[in-house]
Amino acid sequence: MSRALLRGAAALALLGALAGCKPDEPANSGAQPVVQRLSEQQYRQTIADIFGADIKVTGRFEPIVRREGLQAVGAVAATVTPSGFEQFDVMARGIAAQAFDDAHRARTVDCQPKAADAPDSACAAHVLARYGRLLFRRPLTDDEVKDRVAVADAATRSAGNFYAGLQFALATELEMPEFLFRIDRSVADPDHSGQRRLDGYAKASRLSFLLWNAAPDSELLDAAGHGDLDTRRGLTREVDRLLASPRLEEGVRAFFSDMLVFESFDTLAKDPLIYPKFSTAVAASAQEQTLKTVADLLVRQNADYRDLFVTRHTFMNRALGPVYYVPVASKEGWEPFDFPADDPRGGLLSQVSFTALYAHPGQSSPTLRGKAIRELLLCQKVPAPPANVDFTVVQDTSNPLYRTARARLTAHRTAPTCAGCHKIMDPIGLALENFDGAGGYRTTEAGTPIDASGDLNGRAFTTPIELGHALHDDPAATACLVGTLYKYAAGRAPVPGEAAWLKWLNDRFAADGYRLVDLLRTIATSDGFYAVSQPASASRDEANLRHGQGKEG
Amino acid sequence: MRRSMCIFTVGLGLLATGASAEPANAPSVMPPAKVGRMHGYVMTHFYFAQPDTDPETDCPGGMTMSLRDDFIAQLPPADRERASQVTELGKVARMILATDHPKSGLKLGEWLTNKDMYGGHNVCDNPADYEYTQYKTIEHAGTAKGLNLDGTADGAATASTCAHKKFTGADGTPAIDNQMWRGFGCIKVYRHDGNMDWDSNIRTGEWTVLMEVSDPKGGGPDGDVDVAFYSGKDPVTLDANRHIPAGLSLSVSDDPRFRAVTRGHIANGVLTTEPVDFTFKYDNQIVHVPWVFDAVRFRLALQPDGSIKGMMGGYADIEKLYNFVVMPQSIQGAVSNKIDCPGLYAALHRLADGERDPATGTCKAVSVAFDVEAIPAFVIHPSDKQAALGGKP
Repeated sequence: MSRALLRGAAALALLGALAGCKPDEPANSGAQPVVQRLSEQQYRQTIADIFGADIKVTGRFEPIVRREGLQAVGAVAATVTPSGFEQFDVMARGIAAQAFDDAHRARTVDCQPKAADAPDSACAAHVLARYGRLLFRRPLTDDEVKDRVAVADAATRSAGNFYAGLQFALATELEMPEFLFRIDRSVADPDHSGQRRLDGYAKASRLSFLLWNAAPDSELLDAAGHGDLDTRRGLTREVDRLLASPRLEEGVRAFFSDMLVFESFDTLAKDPLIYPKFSTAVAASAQEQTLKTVADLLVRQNADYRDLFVTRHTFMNRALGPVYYVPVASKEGWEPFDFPADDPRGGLLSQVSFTALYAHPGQSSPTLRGKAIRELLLCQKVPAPPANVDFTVVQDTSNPLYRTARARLTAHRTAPTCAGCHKIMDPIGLALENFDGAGGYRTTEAGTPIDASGDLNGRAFTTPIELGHALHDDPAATACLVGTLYKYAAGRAPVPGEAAWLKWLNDRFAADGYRLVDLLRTIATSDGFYAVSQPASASRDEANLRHGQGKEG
Repeated sequence: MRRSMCIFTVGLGLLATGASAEPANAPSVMPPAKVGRMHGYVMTHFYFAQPDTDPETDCPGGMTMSLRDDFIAQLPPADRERASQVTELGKVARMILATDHPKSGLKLGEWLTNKDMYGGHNVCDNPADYEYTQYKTIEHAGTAKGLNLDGTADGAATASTCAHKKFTGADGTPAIDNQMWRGFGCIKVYRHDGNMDWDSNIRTGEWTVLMEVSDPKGGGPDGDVDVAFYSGKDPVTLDANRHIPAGLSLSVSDDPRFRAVTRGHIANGVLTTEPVDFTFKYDNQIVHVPWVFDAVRFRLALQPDGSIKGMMGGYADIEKLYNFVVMPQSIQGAVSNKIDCPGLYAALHRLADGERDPATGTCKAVSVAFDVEAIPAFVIHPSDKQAALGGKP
């Protein structure tokens, strides 16, 4: 932790004590409010929740560039290009057409228009306000409702069909920034003079996207509307409800997908001559295996996060069976699977999702694996290689002098410009050399036995399993999870004024036995999670988004 | 289900340990696919055991007549040259019909006029009803593939077999029985350079044959073993190169008719099994005919790469064999594959050497031999699924 952070932490701890925060929660300065574009998964889930899972969303989502190691943070900087907006337009029209078609109308339109071929402003207002609230994640203002009804009535007159008018108006709601972006609206904090905090609806969005990776449901919006999320009791009640829901698994899966960079699977390819068993089905199954492992261990079993690095319990399907070379009884779907105690596999690092993703198309990569462990799991930045680096020795797998990756990297490290970084990546990456570039197990490379020994921050190991245990016991691993989860939840990197609060979060995580659900509860029920430091830019952002509400912020 | 420590367990005879997937040019070893004490396999190749012998030696003067040529041969000498210029079988058949005298001509006319060609009376569905002029079979006692099934050195009749000629194996193995090869060996498509590719039917999932072999009793690489054969319930899946990968999990058929359990012995890396009846399940879009074998036995060499290769010998009831091999092709297939159905059918009866009827002294089955290759696969039984799901069905 830098000196600046420490100074900030000390100052804010004092400030928190004076300001009357919860006894054990230090003050959190918060940061500027953010505006995050919905991810594809969040968009699709929201549509399914509101209109039904049978509504097809057809269109292309522009990618979100990863920032601070997370797409959730990159979403703050994400914009919508003209072609991207065209895609949102296509999707919006398609969704609206399905939502009010003959098959869905009885479920989605709960008022009877006076005539099927003429405007009915009252019915339209009822329907558009109902869906507008769920889509915008806050109630529409009267002016907003009037605007949408005017659109619906005009379209009805033009088409001669009430439902066509509704469709058109709904499509416009689906194209609005209020739907496509999560907007942190803030209000003055009545408990802390001169400070601000998120308003109730923004709190509801933060909670719901963090815990369910979905927009708030009607019950949560009701709680926000009643001011319940501004009270300790009301907030705790809603957090507990969301944590108790089976949908929590979706939220946890979304976080780990982001943390483990699983969108890279979309473009992952392996040389079929070298790794014929690797297929799109294997790639999809590998991701799912890890996410099922995470959800089972950390949500259903509510186990210690660190066990993720050592657990032998996972899930298997027929696509993965040949890669792991294990029997899979069920032809369809997944079944629980336990690697035996003396099996060389165990923990996240030995799963195909990790070993195949962090490898080259035609060979393993201790460097990529070591870098991933350092950056994703320990939050330790590895500098980029120099521009003039010579990879000749590393890439030449036919050199009889260097038959294994260890031998090649040892030779490569003799270059002083390379040695520094490789020293922190290679020892841990080489520990996974028993897994080839597609995740298959091997004991030799080019006929030479693989040496998987090394050390992690001074702790020696000789096998991938022992590396998992070293990671399990490394305090940087849990601190990294806390920091990454907070970045994911807030949509931004921590600021110096949050240092003491983050330390408190780490302490709580340790005191709770490193249980993720408890960590989520701590964050979601804290004051600091909703703190906002500076309203000026938020007001400017909102002004640009032609909102009808938010006079406060 | 827990994985047995297959990777580090010394299993059957020559089965190697460890697996390496890269680099591409490295010889890859398939570890045993072991569930409990049983090593599982899925067959990747199963077809007539075809020796790489000289066609002229096997069939002096050329291959046997096609169905079309046999029709032409039935025409009066004056019409044969004219008919040989006609390429369409139906026209040839009409010429036969027009001669108004051969027995086959009338029957062919029935086929030609029958609206329901598949259900109707035709020369390949009813081969005994038609004549043939000449059908060539392999008559020598030279080289072929197979096993000595009757235990005799000379093929003399026994209580359960009829007298027949023996072959000699390419490696010098004496007294080989393979009367099926005598019957089929002069049809071009059934020879080693023919165009029949039954392995593609395995790859497309039309049939899956599984095998289990236990660890040898006594703990060493040699010894007695339990062996089981099953028709598979699941189609195989292919890797990126459209090969069947090692380590697939494949369930056995629920139908007990498609299971066979026997005993075997491993010595010096070769597994031999005791005779057992086995029926292979075969299903594709239009053919649902099982392939029935009696008293089959295997001789399989355990390969250093983890696969097994060898041969299956046994007896096949002639009617069932014909029904499986020829009937599903329909007459169109038989014509294009140049199979003279009446000639083949009669030849198989003439060559029959197994399942002797003690009352009549005639045999109704032929000895057969098939090349077999299999790779490790996890063989899944219904009880395995229940165990994997914690006892829940």
